[in-house]
Amino acid sequence: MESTPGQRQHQQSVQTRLFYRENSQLYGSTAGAEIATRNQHHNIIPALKSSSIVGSGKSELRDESHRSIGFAVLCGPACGSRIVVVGGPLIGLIAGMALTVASGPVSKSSDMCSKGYYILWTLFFLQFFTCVSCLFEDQIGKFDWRQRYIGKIRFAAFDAVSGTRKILVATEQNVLAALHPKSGNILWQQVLEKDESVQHMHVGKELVSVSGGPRVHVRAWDKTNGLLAWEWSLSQQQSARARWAVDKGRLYHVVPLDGQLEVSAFSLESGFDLGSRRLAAPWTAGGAYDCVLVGATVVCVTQHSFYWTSLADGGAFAEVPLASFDLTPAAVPVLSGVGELAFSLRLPGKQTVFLMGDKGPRAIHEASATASLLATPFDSNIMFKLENKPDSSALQVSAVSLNTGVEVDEYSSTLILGSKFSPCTLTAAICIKDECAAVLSGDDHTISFVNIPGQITWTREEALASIISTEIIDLPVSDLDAAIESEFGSKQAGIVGMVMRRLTSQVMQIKVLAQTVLGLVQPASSSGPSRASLIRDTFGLHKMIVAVTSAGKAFGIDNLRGELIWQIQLPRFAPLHVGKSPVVPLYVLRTTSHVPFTPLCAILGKDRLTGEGLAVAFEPIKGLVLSSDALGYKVQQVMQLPHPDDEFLRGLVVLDDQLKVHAYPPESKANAIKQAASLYMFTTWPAKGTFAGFSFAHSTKQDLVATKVWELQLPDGPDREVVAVVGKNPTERVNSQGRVLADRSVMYKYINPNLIAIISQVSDSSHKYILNMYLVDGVSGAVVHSATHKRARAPVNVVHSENWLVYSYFNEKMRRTELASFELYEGKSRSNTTAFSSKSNSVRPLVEQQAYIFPSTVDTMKETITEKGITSKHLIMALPNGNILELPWMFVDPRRPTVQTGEMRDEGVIPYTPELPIPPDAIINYNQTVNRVRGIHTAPSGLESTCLVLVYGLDLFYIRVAPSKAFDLLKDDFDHFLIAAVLLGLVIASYVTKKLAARKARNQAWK
Amino acid sequence: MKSLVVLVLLSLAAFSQAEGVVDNEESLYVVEGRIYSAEGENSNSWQRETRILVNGGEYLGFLKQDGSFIVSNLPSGSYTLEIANPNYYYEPLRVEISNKGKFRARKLNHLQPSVVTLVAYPLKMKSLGKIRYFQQREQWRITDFLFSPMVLMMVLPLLLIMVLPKMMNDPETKKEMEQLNNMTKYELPDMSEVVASLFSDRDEPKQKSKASKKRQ
Repeated sequence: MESTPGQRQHQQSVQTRLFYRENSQLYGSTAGAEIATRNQHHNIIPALKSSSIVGSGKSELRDESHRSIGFAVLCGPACGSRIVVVGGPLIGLIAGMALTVASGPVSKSSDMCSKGYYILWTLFFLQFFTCVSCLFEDQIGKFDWRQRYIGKIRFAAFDAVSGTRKILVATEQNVLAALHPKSGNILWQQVLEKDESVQHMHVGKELVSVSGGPRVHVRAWDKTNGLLAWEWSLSQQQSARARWAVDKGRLYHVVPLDGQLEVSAFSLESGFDLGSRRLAAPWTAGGAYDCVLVGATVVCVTQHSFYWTSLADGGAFAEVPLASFDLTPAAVPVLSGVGELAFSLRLPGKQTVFLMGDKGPRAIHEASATASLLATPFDSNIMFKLENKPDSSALQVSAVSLNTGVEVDEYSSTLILGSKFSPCTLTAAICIKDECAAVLSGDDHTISFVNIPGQITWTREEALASIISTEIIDLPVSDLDAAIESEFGSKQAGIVGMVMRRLTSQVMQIKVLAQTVLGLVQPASSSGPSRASLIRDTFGLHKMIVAVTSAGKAFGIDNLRGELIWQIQLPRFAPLHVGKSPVVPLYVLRTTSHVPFTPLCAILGKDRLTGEGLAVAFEPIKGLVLSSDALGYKVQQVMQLPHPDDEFLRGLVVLDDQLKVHAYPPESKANAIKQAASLYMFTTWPAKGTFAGFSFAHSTKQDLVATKVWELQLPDGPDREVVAVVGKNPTERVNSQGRVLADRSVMYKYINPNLIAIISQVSDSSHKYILNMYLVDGVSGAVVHSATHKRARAPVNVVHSENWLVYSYFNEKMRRTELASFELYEGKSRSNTTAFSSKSNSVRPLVEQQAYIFPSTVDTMKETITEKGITSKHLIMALPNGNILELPWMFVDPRRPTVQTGEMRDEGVIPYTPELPIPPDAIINYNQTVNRVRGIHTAPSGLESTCLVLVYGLDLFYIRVAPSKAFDLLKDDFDHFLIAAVLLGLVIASYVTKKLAARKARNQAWK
Repeated sequence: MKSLVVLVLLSLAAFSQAEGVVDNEESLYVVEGRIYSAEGENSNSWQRETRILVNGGEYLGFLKQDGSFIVSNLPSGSYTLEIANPNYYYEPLRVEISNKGKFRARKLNHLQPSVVTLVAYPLKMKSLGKIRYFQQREQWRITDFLFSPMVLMMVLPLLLIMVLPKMMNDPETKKEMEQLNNMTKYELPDMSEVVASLFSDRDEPKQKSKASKKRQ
């Protein structure tokens, strides 16, 4: 804080530390969490206070664009005029009239501050709000789609009683669902508590689920419609080795204690405690044992013996030495249940299946250690065996009779999966009248349904329930355009070669033209997701969604219909972690616009086994893995180079945990070194609360070298936690450099692309929680602004864009969620008119700040982005009730005044209301609930008005939004017929009148 | 739906048992209530589509066939209770559980948290109506068409063109017009005449002016 950014440029390794002393000053200022009034200086560093225009009362900003709201909502003067041109002189005239009508009262209004006018004004804006983000009923499914997922199977069972044989599943995402056996569609679905997991599932008369922990919910669900039948809850001890079992109307819970096994029994429907017993089990003392529940029998194994006892009568454990089965394991074997009657004992190399009888376990079959085994319920007495054959990418299914232990040949079949192969396990199987079926769960989170004997009838890609990062990519141009591109794109080609290429491309053009004229070629868009249809369209609305999941799988999805185009397996790939949350940096190294070079994407993660960095480069349109490189170091931070090389490749610069610098792909190192002088990197250690900036200026001609330029250490507090570090979208463009005030002067925005928002939370004795927000320049390390909220805590969601910052937090005192909004201005003059530089910029921005009550909690939020940044910004917010809200940024504008003056009104700022509305027509997913949203991705389309939005979480939802209405596109309900009829009528009328006039003139002449 | 179903307090056995297992922890409570479907809602899936979100999904409640629900494992404190249904709107509430296990439900007022509007507990909630996600498309009406600026701009000039000449043909109006013309004629003397009269004889200009009048 003592040195300005300009000074820091000279003394490059100054360590900026925010000492606690300073921080106590921060705490000393007014509370940020208490926001009933506007213009409070909550949280301003004293130095900034003087320069802040907050509360000066004279801040007069005016935005030209708001004038044109009447007909072209908030799209800036440029597009306003465009509309006039588009509409022709007639509409232009009308628009002009509308404009004068709209601005007429405004100009006179400085002296009429009557209340009625105020209300009218508010209504005017509210109406505009509802209009902007609305859908019509006939537009359902036109611009949007939703896909529902449930996650990876944890438990599955067939509902054999009802006629449909539906599949009941409980997943790792804590979702219960019933799937249709023919199609795999979700019949019903119940999304349980967010961060808990299903511990047990039992299918009897009802579907009983045991979920949660340490407080456990026992719930029963109707199998046909998914309605809750009954529920109760209990508290239990947390133990990884705890087991649950349901038998004869009782729920058993088995917890191993030191030297004992505690068995608690509950009445299944009422939850009445039937008491618990402790069974002496001295062999559990060392922990070298494994237990499994087979029906109502608990079976345990140590290195030497089996122990078993019935849960119902609870006698002492019976013992059988393993040696009596000719087993002499070197280590403790692993037990796993095989249906209701059998279990398997897994040793290195082989596994043995035991049938549990009254007299103890009986060995019936031997299988390979990797085979997945499952006995079908009821009296079919068949056990299925699934073996993975990675060499031939196939699954081998066979059946074993439980009575004899002999394989039943008629059920054996081989399932060939090809490139989609992933190791699978059996999760449910059923046999009714010699017809068998099984549900497989893949390591890549797929759910497959197999008819035995037969083939896989359907597969659900449940990996899409765990998307971590996404990117929306332009489709390539058509082959024809590509040929023209390549004509000019290639560097070395002789005159003859050029002529030949020109001729061939022209022949191709003629051919295509002829074909279209003769109607031989179908229009590309109408066919399915074939290669031919994946061509860039005129408006740039058709794109490819690339999604990387935590299941080690990446997908390419057509954004118009949501079809999966390609999928790639990344078997050793695991996401990186920042704190607890998984991240996969996904970069577009080369876009699709550079034919003949192939487009290229790269993802960074870590090797599942070694934990070292793993980089995968792939082609994003066809889904081809081009290279998968073990990096040999752990990734600390990664950044994309700002400028491409000669082959239009923008490589990555990777910082490892030893602070060494690497380039990826290695070829782009030369390009990185070329740009090194102006390259800076920012990284954080959230656990330590340390932030640091690096410069690459000291790189040699051979090597990239990172030098630490600044470091910022958050003050140590109790339970300090860095809850958010958010930079700006690097592809963002800001069209308007300032805001026009009512007096026609311009307030210039402080647009610093290097600005990073850091939010940390500490516990405090008097305030419970304190949230601190710092705006840090990532290049110079200067703290541009900071704010403190007392009695406020996470969850925090941050949106950082242009010259503003909006974040949500929970106000402990008032027990409500609030949105804090900040806006930064340079002032009335600009420090640098050409390009922003963090090094030379010493301007302390003026900060406007305000907070708003938000009547719901926020799961996640994101800003809309458009190609040129002309369109106004909206916030897309995911709410916990499954709604996706589109809130205009104007509503959280920190300049909303409490006292409406004529000047502010001129500027188009809405008067302050403490509570923000959630109007139902601003909910863009209407009644299609989107569960457990984890992220929102926004991308520009080819149209300036339109932004593409992908919401991902458990479900997947895609829509395109037009924050300032579709001003560059004819409306959906544009009446072509009426326009044509009017034009035709005018033409006819003019002809008729011409004739009439001629006749009249002739008659006159005869007179 | 109309008959009020008496809500049976969930047997306290569950709590006491929970307390028994975990000695050190504070006691946990169960919030209960019942939701009534909106009128005209006949589908049997509304219970499944409805979820009770306490503190924005921290705790969940699910509906039974009859619309009743419980949210369990709540320590004493203050909670927001929201009913999430994709089609119908229900009012959010605040439920407070005192340390002694007394329940109080009130309307959720974010703006003035101290204002208490009590709601009966156990909760009985009715939908406030269907959520309107969609804008109504404008219907095509003849009046809208006629009064649209485009049509007006076509019709008005047409009127001017067609009606004004007709009016001119009317003999009475013709007279009036002529009178008007005469009136205006005398008001402004021609500048050229004035200038000419200054430099020439008195008789000539008068004849000229008469001649010009005749021409008109």
